[in-house]
Parts: sequence; C-alpha cells; structure tokens
Amino acid sequence: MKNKTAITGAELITSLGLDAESTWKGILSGDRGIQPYEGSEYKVAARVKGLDAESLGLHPRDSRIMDTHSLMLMKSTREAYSAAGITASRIAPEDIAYFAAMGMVDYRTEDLLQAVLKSLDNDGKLNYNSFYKEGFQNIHPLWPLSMLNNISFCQVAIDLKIKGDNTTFSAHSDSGMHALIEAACSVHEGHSKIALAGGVSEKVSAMNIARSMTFGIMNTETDLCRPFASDRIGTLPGEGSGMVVLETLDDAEKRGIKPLALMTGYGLAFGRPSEGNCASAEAVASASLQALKSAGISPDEIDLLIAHGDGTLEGDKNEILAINKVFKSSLNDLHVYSSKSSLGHLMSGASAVDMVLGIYIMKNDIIPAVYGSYSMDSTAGFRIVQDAPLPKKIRKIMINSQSYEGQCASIILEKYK
Amino acid sequence: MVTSLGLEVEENWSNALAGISGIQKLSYPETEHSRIQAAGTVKSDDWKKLCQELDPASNKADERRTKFALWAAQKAYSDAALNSGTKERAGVILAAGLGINRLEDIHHWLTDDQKFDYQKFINEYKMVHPESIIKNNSHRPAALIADRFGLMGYNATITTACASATQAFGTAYRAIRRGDADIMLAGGADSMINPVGLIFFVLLGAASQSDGDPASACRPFDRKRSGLVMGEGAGIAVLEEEEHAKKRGAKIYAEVCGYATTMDAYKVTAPDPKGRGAELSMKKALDNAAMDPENIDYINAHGTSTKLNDSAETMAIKNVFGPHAQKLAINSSKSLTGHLIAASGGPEFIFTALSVNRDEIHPTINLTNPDPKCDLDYVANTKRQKQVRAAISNSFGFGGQNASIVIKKYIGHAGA
Repeated sequence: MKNKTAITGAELITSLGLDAESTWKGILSGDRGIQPYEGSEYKVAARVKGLDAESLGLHPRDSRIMDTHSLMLMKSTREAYSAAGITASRIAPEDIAYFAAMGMVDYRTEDLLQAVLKSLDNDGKLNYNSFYKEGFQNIHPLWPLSMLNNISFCQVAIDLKIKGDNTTFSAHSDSGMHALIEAACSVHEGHSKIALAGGVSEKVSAMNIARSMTFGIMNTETDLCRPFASDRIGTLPGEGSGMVVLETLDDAEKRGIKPLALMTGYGLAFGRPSEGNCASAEAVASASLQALKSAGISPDEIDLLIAHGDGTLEGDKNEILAINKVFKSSLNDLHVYSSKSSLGHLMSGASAVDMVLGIYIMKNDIIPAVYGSYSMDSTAGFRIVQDAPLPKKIRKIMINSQSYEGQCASIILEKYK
Repeated sequence: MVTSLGLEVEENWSNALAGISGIQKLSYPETEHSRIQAAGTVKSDDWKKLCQELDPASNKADERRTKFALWAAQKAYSDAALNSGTKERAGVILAAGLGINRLEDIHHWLTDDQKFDYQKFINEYKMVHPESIIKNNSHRPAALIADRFGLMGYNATITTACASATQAFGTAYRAIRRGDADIMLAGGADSMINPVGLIFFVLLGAASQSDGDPASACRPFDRKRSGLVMGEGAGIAVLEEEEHAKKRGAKIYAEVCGYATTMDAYKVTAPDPKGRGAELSMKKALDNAAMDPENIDYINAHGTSTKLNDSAETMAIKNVFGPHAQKLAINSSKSLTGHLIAASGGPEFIFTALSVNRDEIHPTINLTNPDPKCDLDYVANTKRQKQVRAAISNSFGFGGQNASIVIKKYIGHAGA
C-alpha cells in the first residue's frame, strides 16, 4: 500500500466477553470460550453469552428480524464507531463507509415449523400445493428479511446513519479480509473519509454445524481445537464479531486521534489442492508474499504471524508449508499464534477479530499462548507459545486467513510510533 | 450470460431489442396454488443444452445458480479470447443470493410431537440434501470459476441483495484501477425460483401476483405495475486493465469509468420514497468518473416494477440530471428478463455495455399506461437507435444499498 492506514477504533465480541478488554484478559489468563453444551444441538462451541436485543435498546419491531449475528454486528459496530470519536468529528454520513463480512444465514427452524406442519397431507407428507396455498402464511411476513445477511448490515447503517461507500462480503474467513482491505482502499482512494470495517460470525446452529461437518473440518470427538498440533483433528465453531475504524494516517493525525495501529499491506490469492476443502499452500504463500511486498518489508521483519490455524488436518498442513516457505530465512525466530484454540472458528468474523487481537498484542507486547497445542506438528519450523503468554516486542504482525474453498488473504499490521 | 431470453449474449441482445419477454407461466412442480404465476425461468430446452455443453467438471457442480455462473463464466472467458493456463493477476468477484433452503430439511427431522429434532438432524447430517448446506454456500460459484480457469488472484463474493452484482463489477473495477489485478471476471448468478423463493417476495408484499398474460406481468414505470417478477440466470463480464487488453489485442466493448455505492439508512422494509440514496449513488458515480450529468445518454434503471422503486428512482434521476433528465433514454431490462435478484446487475451491465458499444437501446416493454409520477423517457415498447456516449447501470438492494456504475465508449487514450 502506498499510504498507511490508521486504525482509530476497535471492538470485539467473543465467547470470552462482550468487549475487547475482557476478551484480551480472558485469552491471557488461558480462559477458553469453547465449552461443552450438554443436551444442546451443539456439543461443543464457543458461544457468545449475555447479548440480547433489550440490552442494546433495540425496538422489538427491529429485533424481530435480528438473530445473534445481527446483535453482535450492531454492538461491535456501535462501540467501534463511538471509540473512534466519529460523532465529535462531525463527519458527514455520506463520507462514512461501512464494509462487513457476513456468513451464511440459516433459518431458525421455529420460524418455518408451523408453515411446514400446516402443509402436510393426512399421511404426514409435505404437500407443496398446500404450502403455496395457505401453509406459507404461517411464516411472519418479515421473515424473508431475516434471511438476507445484508439486512443486519443495513439495520446497523440505519442505527448509526451511515450512508457512504459499502459492501457486504461473504461467507468464510477470507470475506473478513475483503471487508478490511476494501475499507482501507476506500479511504485512500477518496471514496470515503472514514470507514467501519469488520465481520461477524454465523450463529452456531444445527445447520451451520451440519455444514461444517459436511466440509469435513469439524472436530467431533474432543473439546479442543489444536492449531498446528500433531494431534489436531479438526476445528470447533465459535461466535463473535470484530470491528475496526480505518482512515488515512493523515486524516487521523488531522483529527488529533492517535492510531491504535497501522495497516500497511495486504495480499489476495486463490488456489485449492486437488483434494480436500482448504486453500493450497501455494495460494497461502502467495497472499503472504504479496502482503509483504505491498507493505515494503521483508519476512524477517515480521515479529508475529497470526495464522488462520484452524486446527484442521489439511488446512494447517498447507498453512505450515506456506509459512515454512515464506519465512525460510527467519523461521526459527518466527512466533505464530492462532486465536481459534480459545475462541473457536469464527469464519466470517475471524479476520477482524484477529486484527483487533493483533492491536492488543502490539500494545501490550505479549504473545498469548495457544491452548491445547502441546505437541507441535513435526513439519512446522516456527514456534508457538504453549504455556504462559510470552512477553516480546511486537512491531510488525502478519495476519492470515483462508476459506475452505481456496480463497486466501494476508494483512500486515504495524505499531504506530 | 444466461437468462430467460437465451443462453448467449447475442441471443439475449436480439430478443431484448425485439422486446420479446422471457417471462412465462410458472412451470415449477406443485405450484398451481402459488401466488406467483409468472416467472422468467430459463427455458427448459436451454437448461438441457447448458447442462450438455458445460464442460464435464463444471457440470458436476450441481445446483442451478452455480451452473448458471459456470456457464456464463465459460462463455465470457472464451469471448474475451483469454488463453488457458494459470493467471496470478486475475480474479473473480461474484454476486450471490440466498441459495436454496428446503422445507424437507425440517420435515424430515420432525419428532412425533411435531418438533424439530436438532440432535437427530446433526447426527444424520449426511442425509441432508447437499444443496441445502454445502452447495448453497455463497462463495462456492466464485471458487469453482477460479479453479476452472486458473484465476489465482483476488476472489470474493458479495451478498448485498439486489445491489450485489453491480457492487461486484464496481469492486472488480476498483481492484484493477489500483493495480491489484489485470483481469477480473465479475458479475452474478442467482435463482430463487424454488419453494422458499416463491413465497419470499409474496410475504414481503413485493411480488407481482398477476395471473394474466405472464409476458405482461412485469411493467416497470407503468401505472398498472403490480410488483416484481422473478427471473433467474447469470451475467458475467471480463474487466481488464486497458494496457493489458491492448497488448494482447483484445476486443474492447466499452470502458468502465466510474462507480459508487451508498446506503439509504432509511428503512429495511422500503426504499427511501424520495430516492435520496439512489440520487447520491448516481452523483458519486459521476464524480468518480469525472463526468458531468450531460455526458450521460442512457440509464439502465433498477426498474423493478414495484410501486416504490420506480417512482423513487425517477425522482432520483431528475434530481441528479436536472433538465438533462428529459433527454436521457432510460429502460428496465427486468421488464424482459424478470428480476434476477442478486444477479440482476449482471445481464444489465452487459446490456448497458452493448448499448454503449452499438448505439442501440432495448425497450422497456409493457409500458402502455405511463404513471404520471414516472414521466421520463423509458424507451417504451420499441427499441431506440441513439448515440450513447456514456451510460449508467443502477442496482438498488433490499435494505437500502445502492450501486451505480458508469460505462463509456472506448476511444483509447492519448499517449496510451
């Protein structure tokens, strides 16, 4: 990137807390958001707790079509907006951009259940003629809006009166990177003066778990997600949202706001192996190399890599190969972190959450431990912090993200001096 | 591209110019009681041909909208005469809609006391129809296209309802402008002609429930318009950096020269009746193109045939263009193809580019009783030959996301 992007606001909602501070403290204390849920459809998940429409002051008319993902997006965007002092700076609504990554929206079966029951023949078979005739009228007339992931996004825009440049990307972790990158480009290219950017996970549900199981990426046996460990067997689902505020460094300085960190580079790539649902090692490496080039730095300047590291067999294998290749010369000194052992896999929410964690890591000069990855994959040439958090000066971070379909992206964060 | 008008760009174009409607009586199974009786379904013979002619690897993709996407990509790729082999600086940005949701997924896992059994559903996840949970993944079409053609660069998927495809073109345009890619396949594919889709817009009160002649069900800007008529299909175009295209001697249809997107921040249930978000979107797109309103000769409108959109869009055009609004030719491709929802901006972008390239504009059909609130020149019922120096294609999404893209005649640049 020719110009540096200032990050002037950041907020998180995760299974460890409804804000960035409590999430950070939880991660450092070795808390795990991933919990077993006996008797629930999700055996193990990192779920967000204590978030409801009432506490957000939302009108029932609006919250009728909002599910967990909408509430997380609403809260994290509001908090980031307010942290960046946008109101005080009187930025016009049409100069505020908003880019978010949203996952697939799965219907709540209870929303459709009555319609299905009222569309059955006497012998219990589903009869579409009855469904189209009357059965469908048992569905709330606004239900369709709850199925469009951009509607949650527009509700936030209405709440904060954001009218500028915007897009909703979908559906896996890479989409969070797309939102962050397009937002940064938006402020640099003059499409907006300031941009809110981030992502929100899907709500953990039976549908969403079935989808991950079909992809073959889920750990269905234990309650540990073990990124880069030799005994990793899959990932675990998580809920959460991350939101940042981006503007050009010039604009932030003019507003008198001290940036939390700088975003200085990015890379985008695609590639999938002939077998398996993950990105290819070549594509992961290509995104990383492009990001280094765009930031104008060399691999040995990276103090920490926040990897995608989702604890899947093939995904981690390819990311290890890519890291080994990109960081060849400095591999023994490279620390790698993955937030998924604590927070689960947030899919469309993952990249923005990792960016906010990166900001906290640089601010505190501490690398958190990766819970559960005690026995490293023998092919990995880098280090991960295994027990207690490790104090280390962190000036430059790379963040990686991949989808199960082959999309990859990397972003470079730098400390603001 | 593929729509109810045909399988190839030229077939779509000649039918559009002739004002032939692609909208027919709904032919989906068990729909005799459906409130929607007219739809722009891709003709069954065309669908068969598409499945036969799609390369075997792509044909395995299943899922209707994904096959539309792969078909349109295959055609666009060969029209652009791009050679095979992997390309590091080429990517894909596609629009995607809802995907298929099946009532069977609920029905099959009901308990005896008529509740949904979550645990059993998860335990038996292998019995869930793959199109419900994995093949409906929004970013799957973009991934399959990139994999098929070796496009190893930027690969993203946009889900902003009906604004999606125009945002996909706009995002791809920006990526090329800033040097992130030389070539981007952009556009969208969608089909909501399925059980949940058929009640979706009925519940929202946006669908036409006309049971008259299907071909006249979609009547944008007409006083008797009764709502949107669904269509399906895909429209994908190859955007390429100018020097890159010239160097390889590519045929250039037109030049994308501006893009903007805005939000109404009004209501999620209705567009701003004054069209302020749409107005801002067109204004910012003109700014981005460094053009005056007088440089525009034609607007491919969002024109959904709903009461709210058509009058608000008209008002927005008047506010942006002032007296020049009367000189603009405006049309709605949806009058011919139906509304392709997330993909709608795909075919409309292609029609707009062809109008710029060929100085011909397809008609808005079924415009026989002009709405006094829609009092501009909508190229009613008969095609128009007119010089089109530059044009705008508009797409406005449910929830209030607006996108406008500006396309102008390609004349090359001095010194380039």
